[in-house]
This record gives sequence, C-alpha cells and structure tokens, in this order.
Amino acid sequence: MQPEDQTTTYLLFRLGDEYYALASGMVAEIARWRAPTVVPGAPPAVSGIINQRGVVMPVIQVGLLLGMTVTPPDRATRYIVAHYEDIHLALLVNTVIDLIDLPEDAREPPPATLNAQQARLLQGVLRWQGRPVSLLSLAEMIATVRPNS
Amino acid sequence: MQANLLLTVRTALHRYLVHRTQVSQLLIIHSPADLEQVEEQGPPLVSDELGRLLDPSDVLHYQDCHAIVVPLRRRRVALLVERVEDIRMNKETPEEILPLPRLLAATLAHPWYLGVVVRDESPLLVLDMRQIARHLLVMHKKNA
Repeated sequence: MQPEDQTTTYLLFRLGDEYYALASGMVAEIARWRAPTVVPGAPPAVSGIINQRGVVMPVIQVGLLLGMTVTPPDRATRYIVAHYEDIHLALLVNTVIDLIDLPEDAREPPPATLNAQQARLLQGVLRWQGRPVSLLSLAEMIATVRPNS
Repeated sequence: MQANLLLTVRTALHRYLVHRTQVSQLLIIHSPADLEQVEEQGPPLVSDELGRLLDPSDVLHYQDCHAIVVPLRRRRVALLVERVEDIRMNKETPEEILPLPRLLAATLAHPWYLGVVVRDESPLLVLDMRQIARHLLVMHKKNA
C-alpha cells in the first residue's frame, strides 16, 4: 500500500452548522441525550455527569470549548462516549452523522483565522463531500477542561 | 464510610444525597424565627441555604423548609433545603458511593462532594456537609 492510500476512520458529527470528526478508536459508543446531573462548581464546559453502563463520566460541551453558542438539546442531540487513556467522557454534539474513512495525506492545518483556543483543539482539517471537516483532539479538549494537566 | 444511611435532599433546583453520620438534627422550619429558637438551645448556630451555596441560581422558597444541622467543634451549621425526601437505611444492599470522575474532581471550585451514587440509572451527588459547613463558617467570620 502506498502512503498516499492511508486512511483513518473517523466519527463524523455536527456542531452548529460545522462538521467535526474524532478518530474512531477513541469512541466507545453513541448515546441519546438525557439530562445530565448538574455539578455545581464545575467549569462551564462541563454540563454535568451521566451514568453510561455503570461508568459515571463528565459531559463536555464541545461547542462551548470551541466558542460556539450552545443550543438547547433536541431529538438529534447525542453524546459521543469517548475515552482517552483512562479518562471516560461524554461529548455533547448536535448530530452524529456517520463513520467515514478520510485520507490522511489530505490533512491541512487549522485555518489561520481561528483563535488560539480553537486552533489548539484541532488537529487539522480534512474534506468530506466538498465540506471542511475539523479533526478534534481529545487530548487537547481534556487539557482545556483541566488546565493544570 | 457506610453508604446505607443516605438522606435524599431537594433544593429548589437540584437533588443531592447527604450522609446521615454528618448530620445531628433535621428540623422543619416554618419561618426564620424557628431558627432563632433552635439557636437558643445549644451551641451557636450559623445558617444559610444549601442550594444557593452550591449554585447561586438555586434559591429557596422560604416556607416550610427543612434544616439539616451539621455539628462542628464549637458551632452548628444549619443548611436549609426545600425538603428532606427520604432516609434510606438499606442494610442488606448498601448503595456504593463512587468517586467523582477524575477529570471532573480536578476542576471543581470546592471539594464539596464525597462522591456519586447511581440511583435509577442517574448519578446523584453525595455532599460533604462538613466541608460545606466549614466553608460557610469561614464566610460568616469574614462577613462579621
């Protein structure tokens, strides 16, 4: 196999009108939205905790981390249950679209127009059906929520 | 800590669990005057709303509320809630208090939770009433 043929499987999802993706290896499952238990004193990006198959995990408002206006949940709202090392978390997203294979060699750096926080959370940008898809870094999301990490 | 003695308390907006061993008294309060009466019957008493301490938007409707009295070394702290809903004393199958998720515990403004109990598939926070009571005392002294 030639290097230019290498693809990675991503979970494609939407936040607002924008498309994002997360490497599928970090995704455990997709869960329907239900109201999280609010934890007073938690950072604004943590909307609470949920119990998913016996594991209690924080809910991260990804849109808020990216500086977006958070919209109320609707029928399409989902949790992406993900893990990084031994940390489990539920990512709140507007819609989960599909698992897709994207070619790694087409990856571009994040646009220069992003602010520092947004750029930090992105590993790069790929194209899917002509649309830009931003690749999210789970490690950077965790570091942003937990500033001392 | 035994998890089979948990009080379920309701504030205006949230529901929490409180460990019975951290509480010396549960009182029904009809008006602020009731608290003054309690204060006359023991060590000095400081009181405040539990819900609002945790979440400023969680404001108590001050009519027929319950007071959870937490004893400290020289003082008592009365934390007001809308209702103490139930006291679970299930000795055969005590509920397990799970630690808070590590990512969350590292980010909290105050160490006010003993952990989480999963009840009917939903996590409920177990409050550390002693920590909350100590914090309230410090705030009270600062404002005195």
